[in-house]
Amino acid sequence: MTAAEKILQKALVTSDIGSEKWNSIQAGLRDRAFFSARVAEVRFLDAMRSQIAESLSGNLSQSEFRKAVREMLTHGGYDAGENRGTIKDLMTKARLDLIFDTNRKMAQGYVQHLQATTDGALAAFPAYELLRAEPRKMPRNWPAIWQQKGGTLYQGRMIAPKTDPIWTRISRFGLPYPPFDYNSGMDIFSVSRSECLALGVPLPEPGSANGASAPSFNDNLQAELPIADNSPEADRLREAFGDQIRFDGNVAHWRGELIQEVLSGKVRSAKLGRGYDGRNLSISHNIFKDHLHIHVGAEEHDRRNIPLTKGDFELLPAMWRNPSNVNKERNRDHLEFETFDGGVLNLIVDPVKGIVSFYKMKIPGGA
Amino acid sequence: MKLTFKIPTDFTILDESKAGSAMAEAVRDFVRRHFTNRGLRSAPSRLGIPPSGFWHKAAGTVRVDSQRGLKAVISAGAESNDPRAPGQGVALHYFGGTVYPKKKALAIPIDPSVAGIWPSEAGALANEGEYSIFWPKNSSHGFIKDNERGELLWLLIPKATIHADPTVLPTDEQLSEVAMSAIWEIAS
Repeated sequence: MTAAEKILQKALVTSDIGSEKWNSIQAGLRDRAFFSARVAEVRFLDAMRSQIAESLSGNLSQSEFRKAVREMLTHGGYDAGENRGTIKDLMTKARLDLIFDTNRKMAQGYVQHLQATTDGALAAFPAYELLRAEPRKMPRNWPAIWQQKGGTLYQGRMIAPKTDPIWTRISRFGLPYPPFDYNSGMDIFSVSRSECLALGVPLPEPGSANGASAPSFNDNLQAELPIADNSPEADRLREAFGDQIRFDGNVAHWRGELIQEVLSGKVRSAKLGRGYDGRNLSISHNIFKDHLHIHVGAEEHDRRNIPLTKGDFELLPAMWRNPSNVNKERNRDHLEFETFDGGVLNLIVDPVKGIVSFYKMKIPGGA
Repeated sequence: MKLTFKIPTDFTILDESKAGSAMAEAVRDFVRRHFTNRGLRSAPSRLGIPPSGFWHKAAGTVRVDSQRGLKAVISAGAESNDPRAPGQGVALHYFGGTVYPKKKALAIPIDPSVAGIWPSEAGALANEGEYSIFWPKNSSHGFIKDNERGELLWLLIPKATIHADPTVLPTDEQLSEVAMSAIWEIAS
């Protein structure tokens, strides 16, 4: 696990977030890091991935981040060309600060949102209020944006239930938590049930939205790339991600629900992309139906195992790319991968048949 | 830094897990507002150095973990040994302490043009070309100067002492009150 993953794991283990969601979150974090890294190769942003992870775990200051990234960009032959000195120039302080701050705030916003939408939190504090948290020289007119996107003002305050789609609609990134735009300086704070009732904020029935407001960390993850979707660079991304990436013009979209769609049969099969040893791997609905389902939930009867959850399957691509351990057993690969919930995922891959088995065991002394 | 709450026995009929997470949310939100308001009150220094945004960053790291028995543990910040990380910085401001440099000196920006920039990032530690480092005789502090503009950019000091400031966090009474108010929200 990376340093940032360890911190997130610790936060999850001691939080109110159900353990069945931990591995989905781990999968999201891995996928995001990998997505950013591969996209970076095309855009010269690769240098920033580990630096951002380091800074998120508190080991690198913003100044050190900028210095390290500039050195790597210079080493990689980066040239801003006609954008030199502008906000599009990756060497400038303004651009690097924007990347650093947006990444940091997005990760923090996600964890804060998870904490704010537990059962108890939603029962006592069912709404958010959008407030200015940092001054800006030229602040955007958020009350106007709020109303344009369909939000209602209550005594002039921008308040809506935490599960209301307004939060996604006001976001440039399509996410229901801050940051809602680059350098916006806005943040969300909880509003109590009694205050909502006093202001006339319509609230969902208690319990009706449990779990529905916690999106995947990679919902709406996308990147605009300076390449055509039929270019060699786009092919390299497809090789790396398999079917998890979809191009729409020069915008690469992350298909965060792909694995779940295969499990449900909505999608027949999906390529997981290039693995740890350069080989490709696919998962199909038939493999799940014929071989893997016996380890899911109540169907798991082997006492040595922990029943698989939805989140465990979401970790398959990350596990295939970067397993914790690999053993060769009778010409088959036995991959192991440590999870946030204290388990070890085991994936058996046959060179001809592909996935043969997938199950989870306990780590002695794990979380 | 830990803060523990207990719920009066009258409330033991409630779902403990739900009550715990409601209370945790109340405390988390209150501490985040406290840090955010502190950040909004920050003004540029006398030398024109703009606020660093430290308290807003700290607000993004607040975590409150509810535990069995209706207890809550507050933490703020990354888990790092570096005093520049918001979590360590919050503790430093709350308890007070002295920061020592990793190398020779701590560099404090005294010119707005280098706010948030370390001398190493600017390449100002080589003591040649664009920048020069000098230490006045018999002085405990030195400076880094921009040779072209003739301006002093950073003050170099051997250590910095931060005095304890209990107002960094809300009081225990305030936190207990907001935690209890969350219980009332789900009990009513």
